[in-house]
Amino acid sequence: MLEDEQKLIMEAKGGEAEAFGRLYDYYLPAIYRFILLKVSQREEAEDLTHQVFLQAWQNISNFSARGLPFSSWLYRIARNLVIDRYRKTKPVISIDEEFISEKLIFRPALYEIDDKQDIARIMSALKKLRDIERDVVIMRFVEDLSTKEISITIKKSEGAIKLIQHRALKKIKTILEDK
Amino acid sequence: MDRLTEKLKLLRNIVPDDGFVLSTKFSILASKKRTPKAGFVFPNFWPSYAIVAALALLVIFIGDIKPPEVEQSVAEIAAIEVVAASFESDINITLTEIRAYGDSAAKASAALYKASSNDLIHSPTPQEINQLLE
Repeated sequence: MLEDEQKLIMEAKGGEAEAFGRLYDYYLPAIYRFILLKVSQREEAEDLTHQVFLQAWQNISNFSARGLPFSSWLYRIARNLVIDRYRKTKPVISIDEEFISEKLIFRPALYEIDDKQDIARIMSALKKLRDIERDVVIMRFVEDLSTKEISITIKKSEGAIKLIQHRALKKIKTILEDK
Repeated sequence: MDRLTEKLKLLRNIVPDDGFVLSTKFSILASKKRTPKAGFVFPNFWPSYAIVAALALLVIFIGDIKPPEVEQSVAEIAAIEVVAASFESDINITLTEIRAYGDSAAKASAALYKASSNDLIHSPTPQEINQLLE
């Protein structure tokens, strides 16, 4: 959680763009990754990420912090936008090393070719999961959200989240071993 | 499993394009922020109000119950009609009185005219005046 987050939220609610800008800077990479790993298209991910933060900025006055972390609110907006976008058709993207190298941008520290190959394999495996399983795995292991935060975001019990997480990891393991 | 979760953490290295981050930030912050509408705002539990309102309407229509406001307005209309009727009768009485005054004034005028046209030596008796007025 961002330092002084509650203060920034209150200021952003009052219309202070700078405060919202700090929230944007902090949460944008996570929301972008979350969407990208769901849609596997960089341009789509950028467009949807833009819409998430635009909606958040325009509706921040309605955000109530009672029991709902700001991050969960953003993830909820992102999930709903992705569902709306792909309600009828799901994108068919083949994720390979070429896609990884050409389409994605990585932190400068990631130079290893092996790592990029692993990323391509993991992304392919994620695409074979059910939407809810993929969401839980991304939030829990990529973005490091707590089980409680995920349960609030997805509106399921913590027990249900743990069960989904367990099944999803088993599935990924099986998919990776089969390759 | 630990190895798998470590591999999943590799995905954290995916970052958005710096140009996208900056341009999006500026366009979002430049957009007008919606301000909450002034006046009454439904609280978060507004659906319960909607349910209560729907049930109330159902009871009114199915049970043929008139809401108090409707009954009150019907009673008010009845009272207004009574007052209007009393005004009408008052106006009728006044008109009858005016007509009666008009008649008697005409008769008095005719009597005075006849009296003035008669012989000045002969002054009419009270009985004659009464006859003329009748």
